Amino acid sequence: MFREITLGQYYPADSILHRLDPRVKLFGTLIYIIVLFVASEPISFGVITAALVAVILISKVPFSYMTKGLSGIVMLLVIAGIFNLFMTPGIPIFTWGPLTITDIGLKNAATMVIRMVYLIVGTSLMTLTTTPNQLTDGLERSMRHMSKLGLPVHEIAMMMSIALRFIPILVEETDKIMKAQMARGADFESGGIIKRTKAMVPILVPLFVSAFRRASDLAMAMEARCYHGGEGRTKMKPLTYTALDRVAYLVILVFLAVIIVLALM
Amino acid sequence: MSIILDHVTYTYSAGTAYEVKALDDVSLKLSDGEFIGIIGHTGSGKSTLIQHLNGLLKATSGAIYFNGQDIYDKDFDLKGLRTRVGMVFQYPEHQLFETTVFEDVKYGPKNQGLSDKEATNRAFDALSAVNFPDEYFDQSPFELSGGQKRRAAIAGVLAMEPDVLILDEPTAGLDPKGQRDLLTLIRRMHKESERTIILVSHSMEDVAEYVDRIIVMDDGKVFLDGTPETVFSHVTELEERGLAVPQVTYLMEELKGRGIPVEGHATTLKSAKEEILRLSRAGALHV
Ligand SMILES: Nc1ncnc2c1ncn2[C@@H]1O[C@H](COP(=O)(O)OP(=O)(O)OP(=O)(O)O)[C@@H](O)[C@H]1O
Ligand SMILES: [Mg+2]
Repeated sequence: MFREITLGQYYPADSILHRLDPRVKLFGTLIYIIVLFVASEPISFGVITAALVAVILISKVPFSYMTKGLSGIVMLLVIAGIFNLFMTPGIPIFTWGPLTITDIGLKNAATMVIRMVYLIVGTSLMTLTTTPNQLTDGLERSMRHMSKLGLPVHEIAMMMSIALRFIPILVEETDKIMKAQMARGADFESGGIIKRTKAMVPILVPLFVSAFRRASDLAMAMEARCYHGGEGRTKMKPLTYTALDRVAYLVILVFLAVIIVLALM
Repeated sequence: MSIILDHVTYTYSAGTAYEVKALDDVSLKLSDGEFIGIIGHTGSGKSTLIQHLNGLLKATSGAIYFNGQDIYDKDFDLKGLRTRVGMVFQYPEHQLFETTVFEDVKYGPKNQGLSDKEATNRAFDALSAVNFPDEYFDQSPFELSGGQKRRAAIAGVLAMEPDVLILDEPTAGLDPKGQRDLLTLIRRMHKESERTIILVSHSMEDVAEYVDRIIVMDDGKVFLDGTPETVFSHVTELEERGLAVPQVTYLMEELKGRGIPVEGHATTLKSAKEEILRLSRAGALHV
């Protein structure tokens, strides 16, 4: 019942995108996000759409996986879209009673919805093709110069990878606890808000207890295997760029250049 | 009371890359008053199977009938089913949440709509039945040892007085005496109140000793289904599937291998003893 959560989920497949170095994908995603918010002309969006579709096809991840993340923000999209649509001043193109749609309103609403949808689809594409481990490895490598400024880069990366690793575990745990309580006649669906909130207690208490227990077990297991932070720690599989990654960087830069040229024209 | 599974198949995470077919076309009839043992290697689908019996998991395909009623019917009272089919899970710490053990055991009866007084009585009886020490009744369930937690969790299900009692490896984590006590208690409940008991276990000795019928699961399928004697006569097949037969059955096989005319398939210490005494009286023990 709770297992549908897809946050940070990895989809195993054998595609070029899966084989790319995580740093390339992080860089690509960063460029993509910037471009998405800088672009405003239809032609730019056309290029972005073409690029997105191409990457989706290369990734071999079923399209439904990328849209799963959208269901959570549908309401937000609708409300923001409506506000943009009706509340923006400009030349009216459609009037119905007190409601007026202006040309700028229409453009703003469309741009906003496209940006949000593309943002979610694009970023989930990255998490779907990159394992949490690769992702944090990539982040740690890309940010390693920051550690000279006193930023605990390794610790942040480690915390992130543990957090990502714990999401599915906690989801599974919640599922088991809910079942155990349902077997004792618990009812999570009926009743008013107070009754339903109260019904959550038998789930939350064991969940927290087990989360703390797991955390301390993990800490102990790490210490037992001599974990002592990032200092002097080497990787079993150090990240190295291949020819594929260099080509990918080139493609990303070309994409960026095209968007800049289009914006200047 | 009967539970019928009709071609039940269950797939975890269906439609994703992590698909696991945990049950594959399982058809079974569990009748009133049976004492059933379920064995199978790790990951063979035992826990998945029993979670179907009280509607916690919904079969991907196939049907389940409780007393002739389809439990996936829209008007079927699933909550009612769950209070009649009690389930003790593999990991009891998943259900303890109250401030005291006693309150925790009362949770089930209260959900059944019983008054506080009745729930208190039920909780008291259930905790005594599992030999839970009185001095810990008011302790936080999180400060108990593993075995005590297990007893408290079992009491929490017993307190609901279900007609069918399912226990998923209930003896794991108990000391030998605790294991014997618990199994004796379960047997007594079966004898006295004609309850249907379903026991998932990795101990061949326990199932041979206590149950009347054994269901062997293998990779999501029912591989064998019968009395302990018939099931444990398939020694090699069971071993190929990561299982074993009780030690005494090995002993009797060994005797047979040495040319002693052993009859039948002894699966418990008692039946083995009788057979050996019989052979000895017949003077057949000298090779
Ligand atoms: N929540 C779940 N999500 C995905 N797959 C699962 C889940 N629970 C079990 N499985 C898979 O289903 C199969 C059957 O699991 P199940 O828990 O029923 O086995 P089991 O016979 O109870 O094993 P054990 O003796 O270890 O308790 C296994 O392959 C397992 O990996
Ligand atoms: Mg199990």
